[in-house]
Amino acid sequence: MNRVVKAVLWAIPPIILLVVLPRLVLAYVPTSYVSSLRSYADIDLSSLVNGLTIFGIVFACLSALQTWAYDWSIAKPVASSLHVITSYVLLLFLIGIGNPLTFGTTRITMSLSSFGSSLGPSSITIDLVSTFLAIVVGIAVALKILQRGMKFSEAKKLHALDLAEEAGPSQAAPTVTTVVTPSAAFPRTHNRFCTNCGKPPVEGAQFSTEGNISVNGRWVCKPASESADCCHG
Amino acid sequence: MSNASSVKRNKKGKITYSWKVKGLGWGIVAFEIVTIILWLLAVYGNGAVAVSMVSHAFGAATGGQTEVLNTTSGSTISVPVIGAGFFPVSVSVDATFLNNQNQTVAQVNDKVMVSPGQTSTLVLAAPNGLLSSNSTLSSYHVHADFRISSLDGLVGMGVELTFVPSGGGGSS
Repeated sequence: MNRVVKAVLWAIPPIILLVVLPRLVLAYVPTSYVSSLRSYADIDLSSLVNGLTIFGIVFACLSALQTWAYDWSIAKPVASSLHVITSYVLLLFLIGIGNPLTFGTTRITMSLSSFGSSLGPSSITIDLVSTFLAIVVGIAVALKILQRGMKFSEAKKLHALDLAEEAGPSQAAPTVTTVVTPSAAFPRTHNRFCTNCGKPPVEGAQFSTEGNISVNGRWVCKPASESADCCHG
Repeated sequence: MSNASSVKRNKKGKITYSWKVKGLGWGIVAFEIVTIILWLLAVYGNGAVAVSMVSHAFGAATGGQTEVLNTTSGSTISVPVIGAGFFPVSVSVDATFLNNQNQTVAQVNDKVMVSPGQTSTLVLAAPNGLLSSNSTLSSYHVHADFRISSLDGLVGMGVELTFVPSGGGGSS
């Protein structure tokens, strides 16, 4: 299947789960319930659904990018890491009922005076603390990002091998140098072949290196005079 | 390039990653499963302690195990806390009573740590007059905080109550 088509298909589930479904549910909840929830328990369903919409759009974009990118492309681990981080923030958002900054604590405050009691400004706050979950899932997120990095590194190496195989053996020849046994014709300083012509230099020609010979340097010969040929025929 | 030798493509052309990557993936899955299990066990322990305290409180209304002891300085309420679950649970109560001038009239607080299967007692000492039959509790502003937690406070539940009487009185 075409990668672009696959990317578009993978973008659809987050849109359905986080954008369409919550809005559909909110449309069926009576307005009186929504306003009661807001006034009694300080929970704004509309802003909750708007938040889920934003998450849904972000997930859709990241899923599409993850599917479209090649394994050896930098876009893949970046999109994958952002996807994992966004999932974590969504978890905190859901636990905090719209506020991810509570870091794993669900806090519901009910105003008792809203119930028509004869009390003054009284309230009851219920806290459900799950900071343990937030911390440990955060550690798992960090490990997943590490795993994504390792996958990218391995995919990149494999891709380099694939490219080298496709290029074939002929292109490797110019960088190969052969060491010959020094002799009277080829003194110690001239025990290399010229990288330009692939031949040993003539006597009297200057033979020198270009670049770092240990890494990617080349042996090249320079003729004794401009009209002379430095390489053996 | 040692990792690259264990990285290859399968018949469909998809990458088969090294044992390090696979092992890390499975390790993360196991780590998350253990996390969920520990969290559920902690929530269960906290819930069990809360339920037992509530049942003792209701039992006190019909002659249960909660004791109210009157002393010369006031009254002492002893609430048994029975450890449950798999982790030590911390229970704390903190209640502050303020008068109309926002001055602290009384403070009642205690904190206990109870291990699974053990029993401890939460002792709340109320000063004279606070719990007497002719006390006007309804005239006090009350700020009470009740918390149960385990795993060093990382999993828990809390109820915070703020009562402010209206001008005509009326208690909570």
